[in-house]
Amino acid sequence: MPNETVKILIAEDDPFLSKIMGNRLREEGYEVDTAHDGDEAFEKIKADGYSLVMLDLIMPLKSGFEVLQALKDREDRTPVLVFTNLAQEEDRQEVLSLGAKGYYVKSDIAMDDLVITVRRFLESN
Amino acid sequence: MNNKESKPVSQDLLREEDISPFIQPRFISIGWRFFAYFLSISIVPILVFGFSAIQKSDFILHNEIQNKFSSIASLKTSELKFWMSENRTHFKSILEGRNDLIVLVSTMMTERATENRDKVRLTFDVLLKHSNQFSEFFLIDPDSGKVVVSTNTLREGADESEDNYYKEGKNDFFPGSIHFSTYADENVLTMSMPIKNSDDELLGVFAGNVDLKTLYNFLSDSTGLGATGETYMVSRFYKAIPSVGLAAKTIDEGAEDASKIEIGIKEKTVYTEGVIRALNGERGVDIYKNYDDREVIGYYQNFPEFGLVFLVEQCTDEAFEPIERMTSTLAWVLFMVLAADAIIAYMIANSITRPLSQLTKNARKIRKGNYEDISDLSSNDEFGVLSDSLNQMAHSLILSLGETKNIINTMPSALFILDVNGRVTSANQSAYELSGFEEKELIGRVFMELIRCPNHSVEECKAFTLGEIDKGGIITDKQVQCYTNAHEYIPISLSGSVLKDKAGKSIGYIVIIQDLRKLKEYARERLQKITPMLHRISLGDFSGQLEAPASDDEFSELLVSLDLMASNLKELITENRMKANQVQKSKTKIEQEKAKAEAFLGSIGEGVIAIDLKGKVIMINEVAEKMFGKRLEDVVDKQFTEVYRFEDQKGNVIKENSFPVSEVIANKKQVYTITYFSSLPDSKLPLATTASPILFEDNILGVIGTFRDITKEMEVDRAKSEFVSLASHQLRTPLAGLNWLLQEVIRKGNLDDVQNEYLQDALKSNERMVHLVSDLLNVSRLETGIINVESADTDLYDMVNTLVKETSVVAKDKGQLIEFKKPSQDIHASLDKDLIGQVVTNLLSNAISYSEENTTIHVDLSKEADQIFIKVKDEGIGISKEEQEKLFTKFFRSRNASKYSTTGSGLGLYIIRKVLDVCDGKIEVESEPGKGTTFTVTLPLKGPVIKGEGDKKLIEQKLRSPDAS
Repeated sequence: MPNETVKILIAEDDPFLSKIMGNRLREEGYEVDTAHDGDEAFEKIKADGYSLVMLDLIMPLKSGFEVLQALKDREDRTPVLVFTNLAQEEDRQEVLSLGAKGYYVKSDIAMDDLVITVRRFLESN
Repeated sequence: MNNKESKPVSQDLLREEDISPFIQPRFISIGWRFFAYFLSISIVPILVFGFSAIQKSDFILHNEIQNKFSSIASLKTSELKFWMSENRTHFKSILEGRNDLIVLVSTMMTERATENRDKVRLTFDVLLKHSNQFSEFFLIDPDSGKVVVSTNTLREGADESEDNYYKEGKNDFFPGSIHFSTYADENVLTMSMPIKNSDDELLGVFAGNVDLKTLYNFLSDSTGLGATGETYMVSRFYKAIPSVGLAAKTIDEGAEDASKIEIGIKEKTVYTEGVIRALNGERGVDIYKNYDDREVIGYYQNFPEFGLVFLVEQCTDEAFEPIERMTSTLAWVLFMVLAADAIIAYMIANSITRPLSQLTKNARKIRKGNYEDISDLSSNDEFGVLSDSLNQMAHSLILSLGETKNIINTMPSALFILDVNGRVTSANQSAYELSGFEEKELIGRVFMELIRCPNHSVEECKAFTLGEIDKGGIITDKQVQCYTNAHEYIPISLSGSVLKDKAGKSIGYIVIIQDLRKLKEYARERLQKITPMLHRISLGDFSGQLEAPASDDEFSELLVSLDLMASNLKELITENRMKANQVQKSKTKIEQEKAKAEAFLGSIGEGVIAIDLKGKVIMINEVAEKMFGKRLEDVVDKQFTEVYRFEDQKGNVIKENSFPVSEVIANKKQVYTITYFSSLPDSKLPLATTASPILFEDNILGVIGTFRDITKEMEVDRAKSEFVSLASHQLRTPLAGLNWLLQEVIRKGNLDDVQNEYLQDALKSNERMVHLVSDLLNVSRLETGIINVESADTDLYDMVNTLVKETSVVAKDKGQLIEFKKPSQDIHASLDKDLIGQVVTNLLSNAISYSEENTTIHVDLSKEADQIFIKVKDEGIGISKEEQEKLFTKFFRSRNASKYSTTGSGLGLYIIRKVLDVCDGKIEVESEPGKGTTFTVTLPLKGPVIKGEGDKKLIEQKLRSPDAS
């Protein structure tokens, strides 16, 4: 079972996606926090220690790319997995070059797979 | 006139004495060169050997001398040592066992009995008789230091309290102090020791003076040390310096009389290097300055037991004299060897060059004009051959000179050779005839006596003729008069020039004169004929033939040449007119063509640059002029890459070899790429660049490049690309939500079967929607942007096998089998693994989807010539003939397929075709409804490399799960 101190930040502007991901992960036993735009996500990451950030790329105020760049500039090593609907190869490459630990297309990944991915990632860290 | 004949004359009439020095200023004979060469190659080893020999013998001799000196010194030293030890031992033993003497002395010293003193003296005398090395024995009162008894009675009562032998002798045996004795008026060596009674009380000091004759004898013996050799001792008491010296020194060699030997340097303080070293306990041979400040080689040794140092010295001037003698002898020998060497070198050089010098003599004779007196050189080497040729040459010269003489003598003009003073030295036959003088009358005459200038003085006339020659070197056609033997003056034309030798020095004059009376008649006659002809020619009429020349003079020649010229000119003019006409016609034609071509090129909306095979610009059109800001005349015939600076996408300057030009030339194939031209530092012009070969009858003449400004297209393209990307994102977001919501509902359960089935259908429908979005995005990219194609060497079996394994997992769910056999040969090709992989995956995915359960799919890989074939054959539903044609169009779905599966987007095969278009491949289909379909992909062995804008790639297609049917 996941440790209680494991805290996940879901940075997702779409309320439905945010809600369903949050609910499922809480059900799995994780402590989940949400951010609805890039600025909020960045501020929360700065303030709080998260075991994992699930980051969307297209968000208001600050895009996921910008958040990653800002974290890189601060040398913040909070692990980030990108969950996006930008399905292009060049986006994937850019995201990984900015320091994200993984890249997943939301429309292509099943919720069960998402949970497994998150669990495995946290276990391996 | 007659100039053409006058040239050889000058050579012929030159006399030997006129031509001075024949030897060229920088002439160096080969003989001397050989001599220098032989001398220089032998002189170096001789010098090296000679100098090293001198140096080495110097070294050896030096050592030899030192050794010899050292051994002499050692010998002397050991003699001295022996003598000293003898004395010492003897002196020490004198009082041994003489208790009687001690008693005697004891009573004498205590009781002061005078008779005892006589007894003691007597005993001393006896002792002295037995010890011939000693000259005196005496006893000193230990308290007062005064001599009590001595074998020399004069000495008794003398105060010796200050002497060391007294001070030291009170305590122990004292080996000896050399000092000057005033009463004996000589140097003495005194040894001393205490006399003690049986109670060990000191009774007195017993001292003895050593007879120094022996010491002097060998100190003065300079055997082996030459005239300056010297042997001496320096005493010391302790290690104190300065020391008091005693030396024996010979005044002149061979002096036998001992009285002539000056003994000792009386109490001279000696500080020499040798003494200091010896006193420090060292012993050896070295060179240093002696007490007279002369440089000596010295041997020094310390004898602490005697309180002495011993030195043997010899002046270096004398000691090393053999070295100097030896060096000068060797230098003489070296000099002699060098002289002999020079003689030998001269002889060798001479023997080699003797024939050569003979040859040179001959050559000089020939140059002087002496051709007859040539000695033959009968040798069998190269010189013989050379000599032969020289003789032959001389022979032929003799022959031709005879001819020249004839010519000169028979020439119609009179020729005079004058020396620098203007005297006639030589003249030809015509000269005698013209002047009427005989040879003896003419030769030696002052030439100007013959010449008269009417109305001018003799001086003026000379200035006018020879003076002019002196100034300008040459005069022509001076109209003067000549005095003849018939005592009359005839009008003549005088020409002349300076006669110079090889060095350019004036040695006389050549003068040619002609009888003007004859000449004038000729001229009048001929000119009458030429004038009308010249007139005609000047009017452009070349038709008239000239009269055949009547005589053989210059005029007739002129006439013939004129005639020839006229006819040549006639021909030339006719020919040129015709040619000009032709040229004009073709020129007009070419210009028309050119104008057309230029108008054609100018009206093209793209920049055009044509370059030749060497990369030089042949032409550019107006658009290119504007586009690149350079006018045609500025760039034509210049190296293309030097004039234009193109960059690739990353801003690197495209160099000549990387520009498509070379590729075009090599393959005779069109190449398409995007280049950038920076007109300003910050702005880059993107250009769609096509380089095409200029072909003429299958020969490549150059390359034509067309450049289209695609700034706008690229902007539109980028905007479109961004829009499509964003649109697909926006479409995916709700789809993802729906996907997850449905999955969560299904997962939570509590549904009946129908509900569950509907929700599953909804999920599948949603998944189809996601695929559709991906396909649309790919189609949009394929149709608008340029997809990157990166061909690289690929093992096709490996690639296909991997894909087959991946899809087999999906096929297995439907009970299907994918069969793929390894081809017999290795198949390698250069292709884009990702793109072709996607094509194969799509085909496999289709085959699975449109086949029944438990069927087999065959995959086949083969190579034929330069093509690769990948076949995917299924046993599925098939496609009808009519529908096969539309199969690869957008959104087409066959009726069969639509019935069979609902998930297809109608874009898969379209994407495949588009991808293969980009990759230079193609796809074909064979199918029979109900039996199955075979797709054949054909690929080239070498696929293209296309770099597009950015890193555009296709979205990887996820394998579709098989339809549940």
